[in-house]
Amino acid sequence: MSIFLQALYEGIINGSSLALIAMGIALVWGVMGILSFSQGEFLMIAMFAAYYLNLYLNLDPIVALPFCMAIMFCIGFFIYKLIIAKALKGPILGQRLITFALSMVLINLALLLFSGDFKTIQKVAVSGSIDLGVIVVAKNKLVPLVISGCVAGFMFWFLNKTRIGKAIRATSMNKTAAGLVGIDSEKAYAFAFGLSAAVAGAAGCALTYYYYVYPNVGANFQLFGFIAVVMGGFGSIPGALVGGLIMGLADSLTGVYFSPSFKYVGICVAFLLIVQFKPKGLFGGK
Amino acid sequence: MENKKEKILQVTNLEAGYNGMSVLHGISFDVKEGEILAILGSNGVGKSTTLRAITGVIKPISGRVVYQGEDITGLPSHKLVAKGISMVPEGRMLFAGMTVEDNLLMGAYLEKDKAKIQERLKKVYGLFPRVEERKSQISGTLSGGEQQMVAIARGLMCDPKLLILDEPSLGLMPKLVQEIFVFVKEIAATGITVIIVEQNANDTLAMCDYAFVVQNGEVVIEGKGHELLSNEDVQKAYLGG
Repeated sequence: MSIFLQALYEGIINGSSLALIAMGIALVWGVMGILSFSQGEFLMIAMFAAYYLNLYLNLDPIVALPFCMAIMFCIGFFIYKLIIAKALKGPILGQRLITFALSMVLINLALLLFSGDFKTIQKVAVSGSIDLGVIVVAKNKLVPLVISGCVAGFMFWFLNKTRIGKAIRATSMNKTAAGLVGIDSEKAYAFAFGLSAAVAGAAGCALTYYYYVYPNVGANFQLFGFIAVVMGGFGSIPGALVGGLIMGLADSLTGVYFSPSFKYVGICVAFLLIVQFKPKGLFGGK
Repeated sequence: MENKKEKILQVTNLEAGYNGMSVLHGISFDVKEGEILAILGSNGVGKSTTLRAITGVIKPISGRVVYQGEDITGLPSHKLVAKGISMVPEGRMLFAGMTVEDNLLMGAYLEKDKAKIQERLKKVYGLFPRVEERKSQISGTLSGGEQQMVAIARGLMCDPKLLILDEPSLGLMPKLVQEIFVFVKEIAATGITVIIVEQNANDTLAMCDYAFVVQNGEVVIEGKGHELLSNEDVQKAYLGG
């Protein structure tokens, strides 16, 4: 029982980071029909930002979080204006591949600037563990979980309650109608892309609490983030959240009950099973 | 007497189309303040294209659109809303996942003064009590007639001077069409200029001040509503009479 609970806990922690990546992908797809292959790289950039903020300014990732989110929002906003906006005027294949190319460029740029070495933050503010009897809770892993929860909540609040958030949702439901009520869809798109980058940035910043930083770190998160989005129903943000958590659980449960080397099998079996019974994903049908 | 009214919108030689093919071959007309202008014609003659070219949903190939003395040719639709032009698109285009009230509030997107928004909401609910009854329902689950009312109500939330309706009777049963047309007259009575595009010619002609018939991207007949209603050419060519 305690092994199961421990696996459950680890699974939710892994899943929470995936969920944030997946929610960003779902948002960008739902709003502008762009497949964001660069979400993992946004996570990577934020991890490097958190790492260097810690190295030079001694900021703990918790403190650096708002800065990382702000930086990533700006990066996302300008990437939209410089690249995505133009791709959207072009053929569909270009729209599909543009973020893929972007991710290649970002990974190699990171290799050039930061080298391929694995880096970790030496000392974080919250460490140690709490022994709850049935499970041992590593405090440094608890931090990303709490942050992911807050950021997911922030994203729902932003999209449902703020003026620009509502404009983003309206644009995703019907772009023409959004224009006819006075919404500048270009602005809504840029904000949505910035928001998705900021959310990935929050995930990355939080991950530095226990994960190492290197230029290719985003690749796995990217891939599993995508599977989580499909699992949850393409374009559904709550679906992406649930999908991410399921992926994390499948990962850790297979690791514990079979072997860690089978964890990708576990993830893919869970994915295939869900798609068997719900072809459009758990929250699909949009 | 009608000549004394100000022209709110002047369209001159408007040409527009899709993917390089022009559908409109130079349409010209004026809209006078406070009147109901109807654009009639059967399917695919360019009625909706005219509206889309005026409201910036598509960019016109050539021609000029002047609104209250200002050239607005090719301005994107979100900029026209700020100037007081509101279009209720064909097929209603509600924000299907939002509640009725949220749809209406989105209609007042550009207004930041909350008191003014509440005032408009009250006014719109006064005009459409059925919409108020449904205010917390998800708009995608409403019936066609109710959706049309919400779409018109949303179009009124930006407090327009010019309201453009693209086939509001589409897909509605005759009784509801009558009801929608009564609302259109009520809206015009509050001083809002209305342009209405319709296939439902008899009912529309009975209601509008001025109308013209479009065929193959050109205006072929025009005149006052009740005159066209008894015009033999219109009856023959268009109303199947």
